[in-house]
Amino acid sequence: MTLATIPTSTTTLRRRARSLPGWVAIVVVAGVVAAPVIVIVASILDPTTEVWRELWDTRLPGMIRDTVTLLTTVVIGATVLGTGLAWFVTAYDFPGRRLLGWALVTPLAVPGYVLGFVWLDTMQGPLGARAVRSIWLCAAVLIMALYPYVYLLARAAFRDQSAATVAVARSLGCSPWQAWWRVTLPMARPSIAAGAALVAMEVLTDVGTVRLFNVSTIADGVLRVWFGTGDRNAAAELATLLIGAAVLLIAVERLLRGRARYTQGGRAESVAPRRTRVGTTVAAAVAGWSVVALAVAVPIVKLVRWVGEARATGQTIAVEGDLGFHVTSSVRVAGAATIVCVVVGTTLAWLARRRGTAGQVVARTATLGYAVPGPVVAVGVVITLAALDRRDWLPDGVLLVGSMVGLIYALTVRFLAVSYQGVEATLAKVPPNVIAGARTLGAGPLRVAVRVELPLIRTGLLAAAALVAIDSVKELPVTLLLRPFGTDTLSVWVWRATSESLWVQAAVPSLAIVALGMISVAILQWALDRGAEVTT
Amino acid sequence: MTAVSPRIRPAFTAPEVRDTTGAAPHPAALEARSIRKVIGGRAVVDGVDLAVQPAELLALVGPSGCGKSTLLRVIAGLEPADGQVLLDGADVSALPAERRWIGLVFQDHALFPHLRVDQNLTFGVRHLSRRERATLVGELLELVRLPGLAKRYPHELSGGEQQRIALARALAPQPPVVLLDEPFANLDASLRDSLRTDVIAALRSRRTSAVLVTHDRDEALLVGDRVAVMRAGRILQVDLPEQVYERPVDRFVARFLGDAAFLPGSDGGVLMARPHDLTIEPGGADRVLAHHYFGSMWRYEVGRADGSTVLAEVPAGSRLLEVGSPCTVHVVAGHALHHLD
Repeated sequence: MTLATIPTSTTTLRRRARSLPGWVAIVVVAGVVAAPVIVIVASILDPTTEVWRELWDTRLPGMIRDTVTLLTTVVIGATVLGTGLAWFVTAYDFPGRRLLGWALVTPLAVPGYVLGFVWLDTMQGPLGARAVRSIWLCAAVLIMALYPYVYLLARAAFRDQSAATVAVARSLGCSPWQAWWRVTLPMARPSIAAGAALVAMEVLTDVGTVRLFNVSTIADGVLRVWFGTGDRNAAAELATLLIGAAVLLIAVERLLRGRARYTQGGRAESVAPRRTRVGTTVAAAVAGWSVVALAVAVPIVKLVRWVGEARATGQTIAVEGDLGFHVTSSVRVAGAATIVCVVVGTTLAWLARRRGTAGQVVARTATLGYAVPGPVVAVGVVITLAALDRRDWLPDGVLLVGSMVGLIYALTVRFLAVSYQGVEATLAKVPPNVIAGARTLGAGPLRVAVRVELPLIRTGLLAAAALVAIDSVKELPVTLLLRPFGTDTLSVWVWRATSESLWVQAAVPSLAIVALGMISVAILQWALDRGAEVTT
Repeated sequence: MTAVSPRIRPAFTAPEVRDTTGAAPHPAALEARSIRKVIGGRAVVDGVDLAVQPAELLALVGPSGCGKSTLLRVIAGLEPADGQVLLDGADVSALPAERRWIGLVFQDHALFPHLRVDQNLTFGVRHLSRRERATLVGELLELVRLPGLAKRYPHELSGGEQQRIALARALAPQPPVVLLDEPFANLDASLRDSLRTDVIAALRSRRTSAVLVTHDRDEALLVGDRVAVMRAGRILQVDLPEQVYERPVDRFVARFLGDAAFLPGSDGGVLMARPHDLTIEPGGADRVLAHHYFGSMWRYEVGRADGSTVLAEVPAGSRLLEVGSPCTVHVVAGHALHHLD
């Protein structure tokens, strides 16, 4: 450091004072969003021993076993499938490559619980009513529903790799296959691991799919304790198990990464897709399209046929069936959650951006909710809001618990990470000199944000919004637990019908969810094609 | 510089070596014969013949997009092409990149970001015990003057260090030939000079043949034992640096390697004059257009009576001719101008 750059103590103080409002803003926003998670974690400090003892004696061992089995199977399956497909569409050139690349993202639009009951019904014939409700079929369904997370991240990683690195590996004696195994795959590993972590979070969170297959996971247990005993504290304590598992997962992933870095800095020429033997290409293309067929085409065909059957037999389609009402509810909830997530995420990322590691750490506490399963977030939000409601701060008769505000708050806690990380990654790509240039031209920080940074991160914002929207439309447990009276979303409708095994009744709302999801997937794809980043 | 221990077995099955007692006692370390590579209907490399002698450093120079890098990739076996590639007299055209045993260094270093320096260095060398590995790493790091960096990750190194490690990695399996594609292009000038010196020293100490691709004419003249000038997929001239500079085959080569003026010869041919071939004296039909001070000399831009412009040099210390003053250009005594065909 040269003398000139050492600030005198007064300028330091002045600078601190000037940045104080920014710090206050970060801490307040992050604190509000993180509160429900902190509340849950705090509940373990005062454990209710009887509940634990009873759980341990009865269901807990089975729940842990099922959770671990399901988690391992789905994570391994989705990782292998997602990575393999991503490699195939980036490295090989074949007719319909772009179309398949796009189609492989579409399973994101089909919720696991929809895919679940479709396959449950399809396999009931060959397997029998009892055998069909197995943890393995449940795992297969979740693999099909969740592999796109790995696929998207792995595809981006493979695309960014420099061709020179592979060329050097070849010149050092690696066959194409060895170069893939020793260089290409390890370089993509952090992205693949991040995708796998996302899949793991989704499995830990899932309640809709596992319930269909009678797999009693811990998340399912939280829901059962809540509804069965009404004991929110016990549910919260059980939920800490899940937070523990999530934290462990993230820690393991970070540890594996170690000091190594995987990006090469600078944009080098990436590996060009090449043609290979016809046999190999055909086999891989068939595999790719089969996945799309199993995860998207079969469910849609089946759902459409159910709707048709119901029409023909004059059966009432809906349980309490007003499609328009439910679509409006879903769009309103998901739309509000998306807007709040993107606005809060952008604000946080922008505030944290020039505040070093401390700023990043504070901002990131706000994204903890993503590692916490939906039912747990719901419990945390209820405990937090109930505390506020008891304080009499609000006008008489207004309660936050069970209000639209409560639901959007919970969805924000849950999905803020998705928007925050997307925005952060795109913001980081804005060259500092561009901003410096704008500043020297007389633009203040706010003007720079609006005139320079915002336009530059537009596609990133759009991708983040699309991802939050997809997640919010499909979201079940938080909506189920916190929806205001009279606000029934499509996912809740599906849940009510499927919990009575009324598949035909669930067909209409399921199709509507898939349709809304497809719109978001198309927006996501559009943004990705224009340089938006997928990150975790 | 330490010699690397001879126990190292490279990961390659070396290409079949032709009987050296045969017709050619010293086959070229690397020979390319009528290489032709068509991309999108355009011949990017258009019938190139090139030979590199053992321990020779050949600089391949040409403007961007002339096909230098593609030629390098073809030689390395990374791209299929028509023609033959021979290593030490053996035809390796049919061998994939991993069995050719040719080292590669790229502009963007292309170190494996997930591996430490020592793991990068030993990537291409297998069947070594832990101790042999450590010895090899030590020797290589000393060769590129970076001792003690074995446990670092690539992103923890500076740009120059990364490029040194990239060279050491290419040399680790002791390949007879190393190809370097613009290896110094990403570095700033001060770093480039010292790195260049060390890289050449390392290649020489291992008696490794090398092809160094560059678009920088000064670099080509400085480092090449011989210089090959390439344009639009063809090699125009291969010769000693002073030959290509002083006796270029055509106007393109003449201009590409330095400033040149073309004067009519007495026999109706064309003569090439470098700035140091020409000088001026006051008075005459020519005019001084500009002057530039180079410390050791003044360089004048002179507008000639026939409308052409030439560069001429005058040793420092002589009287400065102001812009616009009349002068006469003539050839420096004792300089014979090169006759272009």
